[in-house]
Amino acid sequence: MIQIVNANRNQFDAVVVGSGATGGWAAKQLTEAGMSVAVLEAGPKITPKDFTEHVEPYQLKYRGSSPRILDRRPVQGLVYACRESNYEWFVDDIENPYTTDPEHPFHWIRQRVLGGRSMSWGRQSYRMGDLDLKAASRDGFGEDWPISYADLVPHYETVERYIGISGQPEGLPQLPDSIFQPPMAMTCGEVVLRNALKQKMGRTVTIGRVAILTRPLHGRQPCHYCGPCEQGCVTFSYYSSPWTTLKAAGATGRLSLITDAVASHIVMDGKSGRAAGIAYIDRTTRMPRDVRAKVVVLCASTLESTRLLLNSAAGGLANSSGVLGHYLMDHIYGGGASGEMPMLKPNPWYGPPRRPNGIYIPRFRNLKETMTNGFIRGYGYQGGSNPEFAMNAPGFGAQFKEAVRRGRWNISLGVWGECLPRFENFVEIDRDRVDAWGIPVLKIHMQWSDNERKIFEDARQQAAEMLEAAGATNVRMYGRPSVPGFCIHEIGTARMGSDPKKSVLNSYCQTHDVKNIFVTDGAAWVSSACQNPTLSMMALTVRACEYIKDAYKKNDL
Amino acid sequence: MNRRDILKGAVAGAGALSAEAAQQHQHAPRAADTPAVRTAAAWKPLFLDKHQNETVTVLAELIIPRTNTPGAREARVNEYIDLILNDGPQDPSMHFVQGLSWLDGYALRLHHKPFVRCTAEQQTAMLTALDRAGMTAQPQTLNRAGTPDRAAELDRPVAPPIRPGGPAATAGTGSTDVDLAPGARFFRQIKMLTVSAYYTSEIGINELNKGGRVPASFGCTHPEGH
Repeated sequence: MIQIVNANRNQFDAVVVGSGATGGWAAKQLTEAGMSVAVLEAGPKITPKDFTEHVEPYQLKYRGSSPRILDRRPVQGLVYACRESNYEWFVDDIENPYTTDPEHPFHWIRQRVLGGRSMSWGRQSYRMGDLDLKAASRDGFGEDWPISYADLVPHYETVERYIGISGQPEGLPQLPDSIFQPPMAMTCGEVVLRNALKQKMGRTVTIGRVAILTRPLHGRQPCHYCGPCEQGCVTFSYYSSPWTTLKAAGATGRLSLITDAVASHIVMDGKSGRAAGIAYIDRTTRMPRDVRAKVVVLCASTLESTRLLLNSAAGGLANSSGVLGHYLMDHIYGGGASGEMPMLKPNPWYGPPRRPNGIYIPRFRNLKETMTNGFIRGYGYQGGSNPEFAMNAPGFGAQFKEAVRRGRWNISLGVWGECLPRFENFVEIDRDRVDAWGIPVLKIHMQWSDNERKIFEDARQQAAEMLEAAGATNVRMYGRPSVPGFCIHEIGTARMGSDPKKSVLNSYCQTHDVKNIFVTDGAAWVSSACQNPTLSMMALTVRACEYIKDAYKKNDL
Repeated sequence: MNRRDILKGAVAGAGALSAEAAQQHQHAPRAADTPAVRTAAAWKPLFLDKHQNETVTVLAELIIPRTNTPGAREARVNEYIDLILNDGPQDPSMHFVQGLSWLDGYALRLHHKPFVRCTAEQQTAMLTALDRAGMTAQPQTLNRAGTPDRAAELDRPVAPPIRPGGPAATAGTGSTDVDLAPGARFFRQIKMLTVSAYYTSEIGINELNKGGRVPASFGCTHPEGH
């Protein structure tokens, strides 16, 4: 487990807020560069004893779907990964409120536990390319990122070599290949789809690129296909920060991990105008405490990092631009198409082998043109085709029982669509509410624009067409646009940029206003792309840490 | 409305069965925390009265009967349903007991007997009518993991049950002039609960995998492609 040192000291070279995907990387990079680092985590420690991925439903009181979850987690409990055996990893919604306009809800999904959401994320890992980073130059909407793909490549490589991503190289400019471990296999239905779309539509279907090992790496074993990764992984085949980056940081002897530390604001040094550290509330004793450091790195998750800045000064710390809190994004999802593959004989089974991964269809819209069917940017799909038990077979009785068992060969594709960065989508501090620790909460304002709605509709249509092209029957379009936030890809609100009047951070995730404050999580994002964001968040963190390491060596923080 | 009020409403709706039912409810244990594993003999319902539990047990076995593998009764589906009704959100539980009462009203009207005392043929015919009436209903909502979305399910109200001895007695004459919609909704609800209870039990999982059908790999093993 993680080595902890100097638990009682108060002065560090760096303090990192958050122990998830980005916090873990900041801890690893900075401790390995010789810096002493405190990592604050708002939730409790967990150990592999808390893992439940091998528990059968009948071993649990409620078979995995406890109605008790919704008592204190009416929002978190909506997520598939929030289960009877792991729901305490998700925040208590009563203790951790936020507000919205009642007409325009936002689903904010958070984990406060060692490792944060790296414990339960889907681990889908895709690079962005210049199509994404320079989208504004192509279609005129919003701002370019202040970095290009070439700036990110070495950092993607650092992350991929260390955490392990399995996948299939495809050589597509809109979805650059990572350094891959061997891909997980496709099912027969997925092979049929891949062949049909290549031949008939010139589109690519690839296996999901996932941060789960198919070969041993750094003492972690390859996946044994038990299935429910969100409940733990005793072989550490999946990437999550406590058993990779944080463990490596601990091994340097320079990490102080402080759990149950709910950060409330950044402590400023009035004389120098720089950050002096982080004030936090001890979650269990409710006592206010603080840690002091030469540099503050916010990895608390997009909206928590921005909340910290907003709560650290009147009008928000590092907000000379006035854009702090603005340009909130999430991917639009929740719809697509599904059908059945009549050319294949279903042979469903219960239990392992269960591949913790699906297929991915990279973006094909607006690669050459800039607008299609009235929308700019694009979308990708995640999906799969598997023999499944027909739990919703019609009728009842012996025939029904047999029909369930006989099953169907299903196929489905779900959209993940790009979201435009718009000033009107923003967060602010709600002065009327505090959380259980007395910290003012966020009020979140977010709605989809026409562009996202058009993307969603086009994607549903195209999904149906592609399934039909593959010979699927009973094809139906399904879904409605997700409630914003519910894709759990919230990004933006402290965006980077080269113009300090229009952005909060520079290209190294350093605030324009305060030299020793960095924000390296999703808050830094300028545009959303349509790929799952975590891999790029980690690469951006590594890039920021290169800068911090240099500055530390030059004593320039 | 608290749970006690719901029970009162449900009991009132049960008409002729109310005295027995009320008795049962008063003596029902209140604690929700029962051991996950215990013998069927020692089990006592938390939410349902004796008659309701009997009806649920019969209904579940009609939905998933014993064939060459055990059915819902042996998988003790009724115990799980009772637990969910007791510990789950109030509205679906209220709709469920109203639906049970509706079903008895329907059976009394057609056959002058509560559902459980009808013949197997009569029971099957009644469920067939409800199943057909519900064929046009929306397919169930699935969440991102492909399992039923618990936030979206079981949330529709059941209309007041048909009272036994009500107007236009059509006993024995079929069900064409009866509004079956409330019964169809109830049938969907209990079918869904039965399916989730049975196929998450050890018995249900063995039924799914009977014959050793678990493969070595999920992947396509046709090197020549499709």
